[in-house]
Amino acid sequence: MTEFLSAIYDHLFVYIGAYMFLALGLMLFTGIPVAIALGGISVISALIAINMDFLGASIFYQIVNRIFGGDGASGAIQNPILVAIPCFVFMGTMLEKSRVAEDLLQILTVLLRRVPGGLALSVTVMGTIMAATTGIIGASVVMMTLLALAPMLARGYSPTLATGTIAASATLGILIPPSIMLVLMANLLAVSVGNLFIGALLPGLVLSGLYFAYILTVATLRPSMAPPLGEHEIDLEPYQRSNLFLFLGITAAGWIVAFFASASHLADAVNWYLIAFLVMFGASALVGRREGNTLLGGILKGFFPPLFLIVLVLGSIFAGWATPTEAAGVGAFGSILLAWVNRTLTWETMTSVVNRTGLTTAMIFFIFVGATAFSTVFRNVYGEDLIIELIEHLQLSPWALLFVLMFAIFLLGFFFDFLEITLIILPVFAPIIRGMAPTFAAHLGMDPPTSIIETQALEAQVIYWFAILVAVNLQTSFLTPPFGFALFYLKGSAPSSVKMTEIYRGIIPFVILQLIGLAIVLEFPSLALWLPEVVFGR
Amino acid sequence: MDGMLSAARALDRITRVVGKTAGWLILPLIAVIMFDVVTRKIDVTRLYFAEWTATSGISVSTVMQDMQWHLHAFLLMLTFGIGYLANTHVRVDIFREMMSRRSQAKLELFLLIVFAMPFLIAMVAYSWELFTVSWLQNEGSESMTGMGARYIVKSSMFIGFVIMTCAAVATILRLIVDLYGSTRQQQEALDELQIFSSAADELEAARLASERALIEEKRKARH
Repeated sequence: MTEFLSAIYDHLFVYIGAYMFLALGLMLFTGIPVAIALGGISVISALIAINMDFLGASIFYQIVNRIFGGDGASGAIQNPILVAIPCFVFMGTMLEKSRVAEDLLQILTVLLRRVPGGLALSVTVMGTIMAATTGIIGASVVMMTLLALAPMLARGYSPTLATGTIAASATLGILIPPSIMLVLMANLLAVSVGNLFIGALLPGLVLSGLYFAYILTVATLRPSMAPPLGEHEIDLEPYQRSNLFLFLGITAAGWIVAFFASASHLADAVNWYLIAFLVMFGASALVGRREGNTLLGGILKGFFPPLFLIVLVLGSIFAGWATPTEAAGVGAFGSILLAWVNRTLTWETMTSVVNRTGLTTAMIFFIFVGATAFSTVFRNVYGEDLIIELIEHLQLSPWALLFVLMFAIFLLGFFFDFLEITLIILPVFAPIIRGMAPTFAAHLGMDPPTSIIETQALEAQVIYWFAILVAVNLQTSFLTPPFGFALFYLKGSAPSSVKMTEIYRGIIPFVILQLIGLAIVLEFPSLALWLPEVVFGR
Repeated sequence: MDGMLSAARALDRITRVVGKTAGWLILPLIAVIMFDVVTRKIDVTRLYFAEWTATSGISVSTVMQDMQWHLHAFLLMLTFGIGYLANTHVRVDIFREMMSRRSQAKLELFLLIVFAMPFLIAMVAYSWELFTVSWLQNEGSESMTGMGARYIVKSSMFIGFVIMTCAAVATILRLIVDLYGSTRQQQEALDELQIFSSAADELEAARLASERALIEEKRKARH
């Protein structure tokens, strides 16, 4: 009997990390909140390990300490980077609830009215600009369905094209910056958020460009799937010339003043070009409000302001004026201003945005806390060594390993949101990726590293590339039938006349486009690495 | 059973009040970031504050940056509880959806007692230790010019986990009443529980809204 017990003891001693993962897999499917499953398993495993004299009770102190963060650890609390998350959530929610998103879609429809498939194209463009909105897959898909599906169906768009466009455009938000997922990834992989944002920009635009080209082709070849709008549908009042000149005048004056001021002795006082940009931003919103519901008014108050806001947020990160956290705060403030200009900043809007932001923040960070507890215990029972041993045991080439990891993430994407995948799986994969870095040097167009500094630089590059591959991969996974969970939310919020088979058929071309996009990023890493290099230098 | 229900109601109330109040911290957070960014980008204010740092030993910018994550700490920790009560925490719902409501309740009750409570109790106990250690050392900021009194922000973890425990206990009490109370009590408990796949309800509301929108849009398109 004692032999038996000691055999169990020895077995557990080595494999407790593996059992933690097994238990996690089982627990998640009971449907308990993911964070509680993570926390519960880590505390129970820690108790078992303490009982075996494997760990001391100090493990619990270590957990709370790591949740708190500080000392360069990527904790939840003392971590200036993560402050960006509630701000981005607030900004996205505010743009949605203050109907800025809705107005944007409307003006895009008007602008693209003569282009074949104009409605579907406006959804794609809106998905690209509004990628920031919430960044939580389910919420984005439901929002886009509510805004865009009925108008498309009513104008005779085929349900397959309409639903495919909506699902694909709504999930762009996890890739195109400012994306919450990229903030979390950068934090976990210990790389720069700004750099990752810039890296994701081109791949994101390539994907939305692919969608755009596909919709345009389908609408041109088969007009029955995307009939053009009737001329009578959009009746535009003539716009007032004076307002156009007012806007152009203010904008030009702003830039001219900025040009001369930055050449004068006042050059260093403030960033004059930024001021000119803000003046243009303000003029657009205010003149647009004066102009009202004409084409000019729509462009000035519906199209430019959200576009300028995103440009301001991303531009100030890329230009190095602001950290991502500061940019997020400025973006959140800007979204309040937009709502105010839009005359939708009521007490109810504010309350509902604040409540929703609080709940979404809680949702993201509770998983963060649970995952921190889990990974602390996992590391202390040498779980990471188990994984590395397993990988070595498989004896795969780095390329094969990369494909295995990507496929695993793709499968996980069927069941889990990006939160669980980024927070639980990425920390496990990160050391593997870092280890593979030298092999990928040639593929990334870099020389094999010869010093520690060069190795670190190379590892960072590989991680940027890998993070973007994961983002595109996950987006594909969320769209792939029959499990893809963007489709589930789409079906749930679409009118019941839309059938699941139509959604499946509609999404397949987009999944193929996604795979093409993934292949492009895989084959040409410079797509993700070139722009950051230009902006920041190496 | 009625006592349990009213205890649950009290805990629920505390959790919701704290959670809703903490949600509003996002506004001061945005204001602090804006203030910091603007004052650092304009020469006059930057120089003014730099001089101020030299005389008083407090850097406004460092304090503002510390302030950001202090506010964020309370925002994120104090909303866990309300997030659980409102059922916004992520669940993997695939199999749960297939279960009857009663077995969902039994499973949730079991898992709350076996998994959530040990976790929460451990976190409450050790975050209390984290707080008291900091308090006894009178811990300050790492940077000379930052915000002092580090124990204030460390208390956010303790308070947050206590509030989350309140939410868990309230749900445990209601689930017990829902499973084993009289018919009337069961109904009352059920009305107060939001943990049963409410995502489905939200989706249903969204679906009805898009049905209405479709009819409306069709009418518009015909004119």
